[in-house]
Amino acid sequence: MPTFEYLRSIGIGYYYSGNSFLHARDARIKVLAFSVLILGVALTNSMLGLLFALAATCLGFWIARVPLLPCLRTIRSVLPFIVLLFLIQLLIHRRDDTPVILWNWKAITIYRSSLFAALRMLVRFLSLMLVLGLMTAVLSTLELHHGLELLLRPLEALGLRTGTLIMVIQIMLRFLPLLALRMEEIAKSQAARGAAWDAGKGGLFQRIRMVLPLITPLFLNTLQQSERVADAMLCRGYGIHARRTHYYEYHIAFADILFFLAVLGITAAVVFLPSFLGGF
Amino acid sequence: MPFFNVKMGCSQLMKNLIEFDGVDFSYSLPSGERIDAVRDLTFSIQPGEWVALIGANGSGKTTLVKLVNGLFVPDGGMVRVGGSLTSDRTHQAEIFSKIGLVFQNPRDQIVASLVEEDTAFGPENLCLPRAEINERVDASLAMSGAAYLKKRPTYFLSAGETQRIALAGVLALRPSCLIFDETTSMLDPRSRCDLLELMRKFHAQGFTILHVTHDLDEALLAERVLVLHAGRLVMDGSPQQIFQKDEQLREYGLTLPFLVRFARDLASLFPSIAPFYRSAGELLIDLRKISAAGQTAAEPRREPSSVRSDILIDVTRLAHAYMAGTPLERTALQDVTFSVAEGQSAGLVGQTGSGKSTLLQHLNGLIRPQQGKVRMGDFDLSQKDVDVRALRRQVGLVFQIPEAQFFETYAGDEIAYAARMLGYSGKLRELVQTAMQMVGLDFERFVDRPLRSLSGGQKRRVALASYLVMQPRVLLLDEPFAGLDPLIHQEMIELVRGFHEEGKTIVLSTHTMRDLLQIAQKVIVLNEGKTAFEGSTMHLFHQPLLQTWGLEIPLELSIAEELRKKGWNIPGDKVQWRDMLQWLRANAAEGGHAHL
Repeated sequence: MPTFEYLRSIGIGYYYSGNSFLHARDARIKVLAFSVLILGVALTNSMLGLLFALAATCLGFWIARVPLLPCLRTIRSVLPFIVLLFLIQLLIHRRDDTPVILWNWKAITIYRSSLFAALRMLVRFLSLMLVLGLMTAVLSTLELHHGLELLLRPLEALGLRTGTLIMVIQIMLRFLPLLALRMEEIAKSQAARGAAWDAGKGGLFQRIRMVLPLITPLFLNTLQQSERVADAMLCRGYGIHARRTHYYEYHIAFADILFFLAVLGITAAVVFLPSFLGGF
Repeated sequence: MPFFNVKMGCSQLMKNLIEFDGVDFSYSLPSGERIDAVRDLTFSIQPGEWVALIGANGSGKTTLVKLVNGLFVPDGGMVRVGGSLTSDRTHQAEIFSKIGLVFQNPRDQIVASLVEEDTAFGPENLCLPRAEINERVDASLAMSGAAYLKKRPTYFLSAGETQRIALAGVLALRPSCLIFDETTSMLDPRSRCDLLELMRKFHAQGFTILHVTHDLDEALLAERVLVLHAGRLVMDGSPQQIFQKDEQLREYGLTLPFLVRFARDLASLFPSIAPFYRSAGELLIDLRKISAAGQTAAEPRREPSSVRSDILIDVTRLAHAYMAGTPLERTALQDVTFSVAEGQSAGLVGQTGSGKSTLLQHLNGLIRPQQGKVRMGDFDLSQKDVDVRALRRQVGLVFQIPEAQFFETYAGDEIAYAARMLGYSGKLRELVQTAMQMVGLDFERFVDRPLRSLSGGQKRRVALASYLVMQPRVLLLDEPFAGLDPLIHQEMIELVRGFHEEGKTIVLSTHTMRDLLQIAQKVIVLNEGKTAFEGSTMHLFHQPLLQTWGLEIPLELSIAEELRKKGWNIPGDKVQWRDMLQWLRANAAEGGHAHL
């Protein structure tokens, strides 16, 4: 049965409060470690490395005692797009020294290298989603804020206003679910007035025609709300001083260094592991 | 009049916490046009005062509030807070920490994912040392009665709890003045009562309170009342002075508080009752002192004849969870069973978060039952293949603050949307005309008006018309009177009552118990996702668990109860004040009790 719960399909981005080994790490270390890992996963060409990252992330979920299922559900909801990307990747032929043709039908030729590239993209995407899911599950918004603030502080010497940048990130994270909720509200109110949102009728063209009138109130409402949030933040003294003090005390312990070295090791493996299947 | 436009001398200047001197402020539209929001405001507020700010929708109350703490800077005139000009940005930190502003919707004020982190946000901005932040977080949470929430994620809280967290976040700045901008308007009776109690406590501790409200009975709690009309300060005085001038108030789109209205009527009948009270408790105590009536004829208590007609809405053991299967899973409905007959009007009440909106959305198929059954006439919504569009043609669901979902530019188009969607294009004009007539909007005058130019009350009427255009048999109204000023509130009640008299079945949710007396034949109480009560409105107010459900007894019923103890046997079916009063007057004249 069709439902209006747009938010339900998003399982990434929730903080799970807890006191696991991962939760307890210093905010700066967490931000830094996850950034390194994300970079490694994004840049590596090694299939084996990507699979290793996938396994390590799953282990991370287990250590943090965070359920993996909501994350996987999110992936399922974007699956059609991934499949589409996979197919496109499959049809793109990359020049290599010894092209091996796997399958040929009329004008369509699939090379072995394309298949591997497509597979790699698939696993890379999965790993990135899971790493992001794990990061947001163990890093609260305030930790993210403080972690980034402390890490980026050196840039202030160059005259960059890092505080503003960080606030933008934090507010954006806060607004994504709100946007989904607003969308839900407006779609419901239009459905209540006869729009066929959930009646299962209408083709793609009609769907698009229905989305258009939705956009105006969606942005108007969201803008109005963001103005209210901005007012509330100003009233609580945000932006008065360029620097803020911190509620949490951050000090790097031995366990933090250990954790960071472990993630560094994993990332090194992700990048430098040989790709199996003859260099792909 | 002690506070009226006193021109302050220099020595007195420092005594004022807030001072407005000839303040003008206008908004500019994209077209370059400027709209005056407030004009020539001059008044001052002393430390420790409790001031209520009232005025019809659009009278400039929120603008005034934003001018107080420097979110807006006046175009003309001056605003001083603690002697510092708000236009001088070097005083900003000082002003923000002196004036704490609590907004209408608490969710807009939460910035962090954990409660303690959110409370710490303000002190962090003020660059306080960590030890002090810690101390303030604990103290502020304790002051707002939310210490037990410290470690909780902010998105799992109820509306009342979120309100407390928002308040704690403001208190952590250690303000000396608290501004509540329609903060009580979205709360259920109990949370509202709790918040008012907190205000009383803060005032006793020396806080200055500025309370913006549509509820005139709440304004009675203040020491002083400011009345805004069309951007100007038109009245300033004690509640007693202000609420004497009913004609003047009416001119400004306001009316009398219920307590004052009732006291005045009673005073004309019983000499020992004063014409003015600041709290309902005092009036009830005085009622105990009136001399007993010589037993008025005890009329047999007539139960409202139960209409035996077909059950139209039938809900059985309904349960629903949001975000099922995610970490945010939240049970909204656990076990809901009730029925409403064709042509009946039913009220749906319960604390914020008890599942009222979720339930209403089930009734026109926007949410489909996860467990249990929902039947609307011939439509069984537990069936997968039910034609929901056909159902929605008959069952109109009007959302909370419906004007927030407007997407057309002109009133006529907005109203016509549903008719277009349902393919009635042939007789569009006729349908729109009928719908506008039903809500009391003149077709010729309003059909081509831009929605933006309408007043709050007119917008709400357009929103209603945009559903009525489908000519539904059933109207589901989710808090239809929320956010309206008292006069428009009453007008909308009359409107909805009219729909019911025309034969429509009505289900409406509300936080105002008095609305039930005026509209609802039966009431369904939801408590923690379960039906706690289903029965007649009169029976509801005799339930011992009323307070547990977050509800309260309307003042007129408490008055009637006191009078009955004195031998005035007001019949049980007289639940509206004007009927009670009529009965009292008739009986007093007959028996000559009034002059005892």
